[in-house]
Amino acid sequence: MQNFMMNLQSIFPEVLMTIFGLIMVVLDVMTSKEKKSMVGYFGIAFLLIVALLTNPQLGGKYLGFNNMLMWDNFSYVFFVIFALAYTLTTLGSVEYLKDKGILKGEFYTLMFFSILGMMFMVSAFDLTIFYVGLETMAIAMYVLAGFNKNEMRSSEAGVKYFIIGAFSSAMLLFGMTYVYGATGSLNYIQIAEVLKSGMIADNMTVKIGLILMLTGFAFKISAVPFHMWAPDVYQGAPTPAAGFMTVAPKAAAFAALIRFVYIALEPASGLWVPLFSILAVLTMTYGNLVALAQTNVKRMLAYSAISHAGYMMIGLVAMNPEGYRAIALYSLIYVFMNIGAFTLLGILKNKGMVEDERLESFSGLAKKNPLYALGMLIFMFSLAGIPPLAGFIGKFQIFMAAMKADMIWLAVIGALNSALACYYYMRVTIYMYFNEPEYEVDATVGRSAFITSFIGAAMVLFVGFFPAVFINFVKHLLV
Amino acid sequence: MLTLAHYLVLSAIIFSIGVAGVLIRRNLIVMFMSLELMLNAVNINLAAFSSYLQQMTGQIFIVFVMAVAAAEAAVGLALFISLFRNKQTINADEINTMRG
Repeated sequence: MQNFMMNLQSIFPEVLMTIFGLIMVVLDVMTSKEKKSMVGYFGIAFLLIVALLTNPQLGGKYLGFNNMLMWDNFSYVFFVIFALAYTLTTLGSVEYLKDKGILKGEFYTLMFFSILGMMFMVSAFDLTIFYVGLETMAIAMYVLAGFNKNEMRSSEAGVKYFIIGAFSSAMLLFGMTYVYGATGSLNYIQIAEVLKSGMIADNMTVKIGLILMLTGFAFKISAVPFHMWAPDVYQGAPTPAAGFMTVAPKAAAFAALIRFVYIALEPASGLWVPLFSILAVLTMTYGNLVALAQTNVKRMLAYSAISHAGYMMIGLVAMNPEGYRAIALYSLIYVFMNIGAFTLLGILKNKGMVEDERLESFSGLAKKNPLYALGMLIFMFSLAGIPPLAGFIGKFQIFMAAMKADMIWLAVIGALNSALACYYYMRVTIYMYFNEPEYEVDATVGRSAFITSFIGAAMVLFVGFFPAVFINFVKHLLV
Repeated sequence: MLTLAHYLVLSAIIFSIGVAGVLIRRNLIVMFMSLELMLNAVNINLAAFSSYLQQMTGQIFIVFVMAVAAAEAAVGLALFISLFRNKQTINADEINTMRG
């Protein structure tokens, strides 16, 4: 009986999410065609209920099903990150989808179910659970990328994401089978025990398996040189979906990776730490350098998303609790600034204020619509990591974690990279504020999109000036 | 007598064929078939290890892999159809509206 209660507590949030997700499917059928946004708003309410009901008390750990599933503070903080990403995306997407004529309930249901998959990924203590969670998330994401089926670019993004995503999960799986064969278990704790007993770390089977697995992970977090799908997918996908995709799945992949490498691969850290340090440097540098050359702002943001994955990888290789706490904080901040920027971009484009997301069409936006130009300015400054905005706090924590792990060279490369990144973020603001408008346009923006960008900008400022609130939120995280 | 090594070599060969197929072939349907080949190599590996280790875990994993592969097929083919409706092609080389 004791065991049953423990199992139930460990899976309770996921069970709730499944029930609510199914209710959303029913709601989708019941609402009339113009009111499909209600499905999304109900999703926000459901997420709020789950967040309120499942908060584990400080230090509470519910490990169930033969050590396969864990619900603790770490899972909860990442759940909150996904829920915030969903909330902001939903609010920002209603108007965009209406303008494009694709306002359907499925958009929200898919996002909701993808969050369920992400929760399983983060809570997994077993490779089976992790894999099923990963695919639940990924399959929903493929559909979201190709959601606007009347538009060539969206279909293209969906197909590309699907091929590369399935390819990388097959790679990940093949690596898992070797790890399973060599260690005789799929459970993180047992894998760690076998690796700790020595010998096996020199075993060729384990090495091949781990390298294949880490390659699969690198695809998922869009680390260079496994990033080539990311710019196309983020550019082609409907803008709100792209904003969601740059944030939530990446946070989930990082969280799952943290659990896996900190628990299962802790004894084999000599193998993966050098590998990921190199990948982190490559990812930051390549993402920033290519973003410099972009003339399309949405594609530039896609490359900036790659470079941000590079910063987060620094926290991963730091191999200390500060490292993964910094990643959690960074993901949280990234939700506000990136979804805010993507929402603004989508709205501005749909209303004809910028044409085809070209950089030049941002000229004189400050005169056309000062409020939105100010919002964009805040997001760009925050992404660039200029104090006192939120992005700075995130980067600062990551670099501090690297310093603490005696990886000063990595922190230095990261800092140099964020200086480099300033150039292309600033370029957008320069176009907005110092250039004359190319053309006049008269447009009004609806309420919900305004609320999203307002929340995003307000949170970016709030975290920037009062970082303690958010740092306390992640301070006690333990894997 | 078939040993574990035989199965591992077989699955490695099938997996390599799958990887090569995805990288070389340009027809999306054939690329997708190659992906399924990769997943089947995974299943062979799991079954071989599971029988070698005298454990059920691997075989249970196979069921999950198969279920996910089926779900993936449904979504993938739907995406190919929506692409085909837009562009009348499923050649991967012609899907190049986005560059840079």
